[in-house]
Amino acid sequence: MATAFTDMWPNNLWPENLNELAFESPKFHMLQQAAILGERTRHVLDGKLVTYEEPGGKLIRHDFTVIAPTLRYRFVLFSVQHAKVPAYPALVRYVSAAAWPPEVYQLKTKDPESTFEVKNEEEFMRLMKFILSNKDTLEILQTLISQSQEKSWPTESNAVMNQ
Amino acid sequence: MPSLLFWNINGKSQSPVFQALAQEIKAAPIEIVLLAECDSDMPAEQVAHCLTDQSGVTYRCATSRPGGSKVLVFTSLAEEDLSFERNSKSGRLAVYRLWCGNIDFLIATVHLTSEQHQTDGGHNDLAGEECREFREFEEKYNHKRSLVIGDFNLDPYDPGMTSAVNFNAVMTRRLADKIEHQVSFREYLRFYNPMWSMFGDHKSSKEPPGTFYYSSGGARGAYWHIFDQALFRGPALREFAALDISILSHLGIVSLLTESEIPNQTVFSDHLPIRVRFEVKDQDKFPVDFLRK
Repeated sequence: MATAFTDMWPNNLWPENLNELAFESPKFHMLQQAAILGERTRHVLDGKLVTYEEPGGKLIRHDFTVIAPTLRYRFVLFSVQHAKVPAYPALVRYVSAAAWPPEVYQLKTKDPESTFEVKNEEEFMRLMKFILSNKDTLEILQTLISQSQEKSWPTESNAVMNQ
Repeated sequence: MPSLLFWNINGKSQSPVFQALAQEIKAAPIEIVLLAECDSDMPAEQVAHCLTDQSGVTYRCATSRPGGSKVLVFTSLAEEDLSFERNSKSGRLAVYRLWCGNIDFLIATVHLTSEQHQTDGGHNDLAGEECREFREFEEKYNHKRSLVIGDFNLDPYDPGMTSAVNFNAVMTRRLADKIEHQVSFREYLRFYNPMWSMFGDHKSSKEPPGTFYYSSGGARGAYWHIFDQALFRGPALREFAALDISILSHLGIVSLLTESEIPNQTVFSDHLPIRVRFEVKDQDKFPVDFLRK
């Protein structure tokens, strides 16, 4: 005769707010800004996130890449590295000659490659805002937009008409 | 060289189909597999799992809402290299973005309505509606490096394919390269439709004479049709160093034909697959820079 088993697992002990995120990861915010760059420039420039797993498997790195498809050119604007868990603190690498305002300067590490350490989402957002609106960033983006428009394919207005 | 394979599998999501696809993938890598008429009872994840399991190459479903698209896309590429962008209102056309190095292409998948479901050429008009939506997508992405692939349920010579207000797909690169076709003071961008040259058996290769065989028994009938097609915009063609398109009668060593050399729909599908391979110019010559001062 088969023995009836009793379900020994307790009822759901997970909290109700399991899916309510306390914060968003750097990747989430970077993807959002990458999409906005494409929309704002009508895809003359595009933002793309390239993610790598660092050797050892515990760390991941996201490169925020700006692409000018018409010029076939891309560059990494800044990189973020953090552990898989937790996502903060994170190290942000951004090279610029600009003078750092005090609220950004305080995040700077002693690393000569201009690396910043952000301890939480708020610090990350503050730093990313600085990077995206920095004079150096704007200068290079505007240069790429200008060159892309010079090199763009014929459009309705300047097309070669058919015979 | 990215390789795409489109196949209307006619609801045959059974093991012979996946075994045959796996054979082809093992013989020559296919980064993007596009399947129309997948069995609706088989979730997309299960199809991806079948492909992965049989071929040994990891595939994921790139279609974000599989229920909303008529063509499911499976890929071995990373999400950052092939992403789903949007569906047309009907779901019969879906747009993806493929990155090849520093350049992106728009890939539209289609499975248009068939003549059986529309009378008086209504399916030609509906093709035009899908194309109009696709032109809007192109406007949004601000470039025309586009290709459209799928089951149009139309032959290359049907008005839905050739009319300027529809897909405006012409038979030569030269015509497609003229950028626009002007009709009644309106300008219409063209596609190049290489499928025109694939009819019949004049080719030196042993490719089948079409992708779909139908004998109506009536006085009229072309028997072989090419409903499964790939169209290219001129700006996309200009970025290609090489382009190769074929109708496949075999996947690996598996024949998809009966002894009468028509599609074996009992085991596989009433459609034959098409494969598109292209090589992007100078893809490796453009390094990634880091912003430095």
